[in-house]
Amino acid sequence: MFDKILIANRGEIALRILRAAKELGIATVAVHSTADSEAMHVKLADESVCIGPPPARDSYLNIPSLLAACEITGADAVHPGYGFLSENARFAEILGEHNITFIGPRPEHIRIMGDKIEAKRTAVRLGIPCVPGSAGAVSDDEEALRVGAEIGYPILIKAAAGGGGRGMKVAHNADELSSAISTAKAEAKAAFGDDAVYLEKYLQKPRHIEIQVLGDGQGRAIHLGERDCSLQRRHQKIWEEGPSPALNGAEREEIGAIVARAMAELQYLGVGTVEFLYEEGRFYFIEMNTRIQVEHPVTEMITGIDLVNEQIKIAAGSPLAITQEDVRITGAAIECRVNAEHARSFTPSPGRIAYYHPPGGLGVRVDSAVYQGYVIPPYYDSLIGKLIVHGRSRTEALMRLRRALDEFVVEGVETTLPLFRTLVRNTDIQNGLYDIHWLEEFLAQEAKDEE
Amino acid sequence: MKKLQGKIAAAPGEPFTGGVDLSIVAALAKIAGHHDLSEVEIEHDGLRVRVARERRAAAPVAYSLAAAPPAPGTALETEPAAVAPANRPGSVKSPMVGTAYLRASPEAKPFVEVGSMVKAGDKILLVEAMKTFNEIVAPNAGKVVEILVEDGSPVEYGQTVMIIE
Repeated sequence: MFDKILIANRGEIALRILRAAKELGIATVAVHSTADSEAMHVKLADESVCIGPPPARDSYLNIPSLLAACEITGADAVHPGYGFLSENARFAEILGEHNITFIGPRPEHIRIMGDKIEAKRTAVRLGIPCVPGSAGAVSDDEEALRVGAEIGYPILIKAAAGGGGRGMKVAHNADELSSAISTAKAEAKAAFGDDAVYLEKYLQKPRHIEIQVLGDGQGRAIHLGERDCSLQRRHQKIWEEGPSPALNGAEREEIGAIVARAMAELQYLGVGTVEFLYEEGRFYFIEMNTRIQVEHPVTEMITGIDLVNEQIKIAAGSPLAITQEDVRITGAAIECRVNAEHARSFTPSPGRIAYYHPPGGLGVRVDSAVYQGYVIPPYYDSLIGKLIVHGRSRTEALMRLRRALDEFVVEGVETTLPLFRTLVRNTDIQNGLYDIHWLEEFLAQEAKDEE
Repeated sequence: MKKLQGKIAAAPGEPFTGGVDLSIVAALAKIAGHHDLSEVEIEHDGLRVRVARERRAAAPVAYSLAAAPPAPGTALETEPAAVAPANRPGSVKSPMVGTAYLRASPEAKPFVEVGSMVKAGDKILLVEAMKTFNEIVAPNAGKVVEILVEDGSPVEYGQTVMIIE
């Protein structure tokens, strides 16, 4: 087992990692930029090292700085959290060369899943159902039009180096296809440095359903059920829940088994999430995230399994001790990402939290690193924290969420709490009747009603 | 406060103490000090003697979230300096994370010492990370008034390593 873990991240996930490390009796090193000197996890860690000025590229993305911090503290493992360098295969490789364990998958798997075309090819090979589309990157208009005719319009043009909703364009018919591809290529080149694009059938009203997986790199892999993350604004998830209101037990078992078998065959090491679009009873693979995700607490609440704890143990070489039969989904959990943003305009609202009172009670969990008096810096994401509730049924979870949201006080900055208070009272949400367009349509309607 | 039972004797030839044997006061004071009592009182035959002393208040157990020990290399906590070194004019801050060396090699003389005069651009220390040595130079001319790191100690980004006035 590791002696000392360096936490290469910040905010709530850094605190999450710190908690897991402490519970395993592992010493912790918090690295931080000058803007994060007063962060909660920095205060709680055994050691801290300032690694740079506020900009992420000079601090949290600064590989030499992180390596130097490992060197002077003697850390033998690094947990990258999510975002930042968590899916940077080169960082994982460099750490390996320095005999420091990267708590995450093998670099080759990070690479495969980081290239969306390669990821899809691999998914097809492993028997994971995919969205109908081009076999790989489209090189010319003729090929594109042929694929378009085969799979039908509308067509989505996606950047191979994109992901997370970025770098996508829609063509509604054959006439639009050529110019949409040119635009997509130019934007992809500018944003990702790679203009390779591929085509997929555009699904009209899908849900975003993802499967959590856990593998030990030695051929054992299990799934831990799904999370429904359809409620998104500009491809950013804001509300996630598990189980999905749209799936029944048979569907869950079927897709779970397909995914777990695929991960076992891949000899996947660590935690991962296989993301699907789900429409009319069918699953379509879109991408795989080879890291711990923001919404992992939803799975923890319904399975009782500590995912970061498992990550650390597996990274230290333990075989997977949990079998698929051990995994039980109990009740329902909902997570709301509370951001320091205006609840309607979503304008970021950094600043000092003058008053902070998080909700509590049975089945209520708040994963947040803020505290009263804390100053949210303007340089990073606006996440104040995650409110996660669990209930024995989805109805109980919704009631609990409503109660917890009403109890949650954050003053001094704008927050998106009012939006969640509205959503939890909305009939469609209560009935689980939503797809990936629902939230933006709802917000647009609200904006119109206000005029 | 403890109540003690004891005999009080008035010794003949002693200075007038109102019949009180002052050695009892000394004895009570000793008892109070030994057992860290704030007061000791003794009463016998209508005579009551009480000795009170200033106890040093026990240091409160501060449960503080800021209990993390200082970052490696930080020597700032025990300094009684009126102004934090980082804010003093002429403070030189490390531009990187690594191990600070005050001399080019273990046998060499240090680049500078307290009292050395330097010109802008003079080499004042090395910061090493992953076998790569980076030269840190004086940002301004002046006198080295303080060296805040030890040879071979870890430094973090922004840590004040020297003051050159």
